[in-house]
Amino acid sequence: MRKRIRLLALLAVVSAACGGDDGAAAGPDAAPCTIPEPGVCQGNTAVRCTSGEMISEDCTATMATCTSSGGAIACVDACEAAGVTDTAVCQGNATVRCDTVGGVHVVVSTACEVGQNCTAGSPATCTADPCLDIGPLGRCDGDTLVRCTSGAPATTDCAGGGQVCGYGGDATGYACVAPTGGFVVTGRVTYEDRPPQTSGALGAITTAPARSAEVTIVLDQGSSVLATALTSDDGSYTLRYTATAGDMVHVMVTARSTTPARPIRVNRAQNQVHAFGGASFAAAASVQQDILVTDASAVSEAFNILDQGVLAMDKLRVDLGVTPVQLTARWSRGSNQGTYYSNGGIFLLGSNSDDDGYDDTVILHEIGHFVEDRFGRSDSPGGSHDGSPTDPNLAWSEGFATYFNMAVRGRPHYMDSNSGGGWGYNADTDTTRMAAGSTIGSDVSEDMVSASLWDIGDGGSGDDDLVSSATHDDVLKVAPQYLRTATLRSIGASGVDLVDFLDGWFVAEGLSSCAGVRDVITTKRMFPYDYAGPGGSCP
Amino acid sequence: MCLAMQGPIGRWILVAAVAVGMCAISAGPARAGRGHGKPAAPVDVRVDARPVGGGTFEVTLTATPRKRVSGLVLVLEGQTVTVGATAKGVKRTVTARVSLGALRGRDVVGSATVDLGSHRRRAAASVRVGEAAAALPPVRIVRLPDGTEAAEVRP
Repeated sequence: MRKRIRLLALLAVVSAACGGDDGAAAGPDAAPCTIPEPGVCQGNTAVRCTSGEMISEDCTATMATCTSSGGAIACVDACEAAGVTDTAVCQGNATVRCDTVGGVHVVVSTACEVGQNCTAGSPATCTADPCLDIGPLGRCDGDTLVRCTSGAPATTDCAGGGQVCGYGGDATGYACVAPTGGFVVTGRVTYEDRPPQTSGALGAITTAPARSAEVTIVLDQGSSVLATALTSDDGSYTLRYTATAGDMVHVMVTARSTTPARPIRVNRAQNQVHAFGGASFAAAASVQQDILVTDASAVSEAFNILDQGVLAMDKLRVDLGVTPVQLTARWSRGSNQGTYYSNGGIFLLGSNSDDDGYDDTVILHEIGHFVEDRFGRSDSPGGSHDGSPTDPNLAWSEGFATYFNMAVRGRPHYMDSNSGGGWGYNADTDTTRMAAGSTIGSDVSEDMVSASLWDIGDGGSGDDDLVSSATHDDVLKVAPQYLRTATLRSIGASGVDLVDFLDGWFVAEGLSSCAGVRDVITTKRMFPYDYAGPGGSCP
Repeated sequence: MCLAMQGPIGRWILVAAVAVGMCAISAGPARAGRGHGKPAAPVDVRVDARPVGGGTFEVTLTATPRKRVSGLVLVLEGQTVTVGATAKGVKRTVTARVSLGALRGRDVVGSATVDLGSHRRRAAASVRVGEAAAALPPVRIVRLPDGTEAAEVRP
């Protein structure tokens, strides 16, 4: 059907003589066609010179988009070019399908939310991740090993092979192992959380599993450590250990993850890692010990910070294909030394009037600085910032960090609680734009940066911009794949800024998104990008 | 520093300490040059308290924008004062009376919301009046197999 429409439209191509308006072929008296090679897009009409004649092709007639393709101006059906039909398929962790917007075909990409996977089918859909509560370390259900294999849970009866289910080390996680140690303690670790609300205020206390948290069995007398493991993603753990029956022991959970997949630790101001100990019990063949890290202990926020680190590391490793490196966070209740990123570590306020321990979006903002430092690039001079127009390098760095939080959470919100209630910001509804008369090197708002990145990366129903074929992972990948190593153009401010991101975007994605990016960047936010970077010139 | 003190004498020594502003906590400027700070409101906020007798305190919220703001709203103890546009460096204050009642001590919170045209930011500060808050739970150091020290809190 689509090919038939295209054929009809091609038959109806209007060829007009230069300077003429009647659609007839150019006669001997017509002025020469002055459209420069390879032609131009006028709205959604491709206009070019062929043998001195001006040829106009209405791309909308074929549901195509006027674009620069292979060095030529042409009508390109975005869906045909991408091999996408109106039946959604999976691409990475997003569904992709063809839709018709404004009379032309567009590729619509919808990223699956956190905790969901794209499941192939007709159509493909986002469904709850069946491995969500297993994670990269697996877990033990008695002597049954549960691992995630090819995106689905797989069980192994360890006892059938004369083995037991236990912790096989940080690189392996839970596995069938030879029986060692006479005793086993199992249980689940959870912590009290106060999820941020979009207003900025914190919600009521809930409980959440402590994922990838280190658990140890500690002898009460002398505090020696008898065995160590990490929790599974449902917070469960299995610790096998050797002791004298009747010895008093307890389980201690620390706010650090030592698996290479998620190398994170959360320290106190004195550089000791936060830890919470459960009740003492007598060593015995099998004991069940659940641990709830309470808000009253002044430690639960450390486990929330660890959990935000887990989310960020998974985004890096699973979605961006980056090998995580060690992240150290420092927070203590009562600390008033500021919230900032510096030299591989994030530092978080814990003061009475401003405690960031439960502020997921603030934590992920600072981890965003860690990501740009270790995997991307920053030329930010640092310093205070409040969303007002500022140095383009600073605005880029802060806007990217805020956007990183949004991409990890899959939500366009930034919230920062404080004892006065806090404040919140929604990048999807933000209307920050450049002042009239701004140049490409003018001061920029960090809010404008994060809102622009969000609009480029979001999609699906309710999307309010013309970039529909990209995901947040596509946006984030520009940092490690372009900004990290590219020689930046000498345009606008020196150092990395929004201009350089856009250059990298078109290098990575080609020019098919020109119209959409122009809608987000120029039409909506009046940023005077020149659309002439190393990826090519937009028509 | 505020210290917990038992009995009426100790209590009023503490109150005197509050009166000279030792317990005032402020939201100051982001620390320039200390890496990448979080987005913040461009306003310095502090709350001070002085005893006026009978377990009652006069508490003052002071907000000083670090740049011109198109709007400023101060909130202290249920009072909301809309100031409007304020120039950089101009101090705005609101004062309230706080009574401890049956409490031995409490935190009094004040906040300032600044309007920056297309967006708003809020900063807060607090002051402790009366007895100090309960101390944090004690920790015990446990050395992990790799030499890392864990600061363990147990209920």
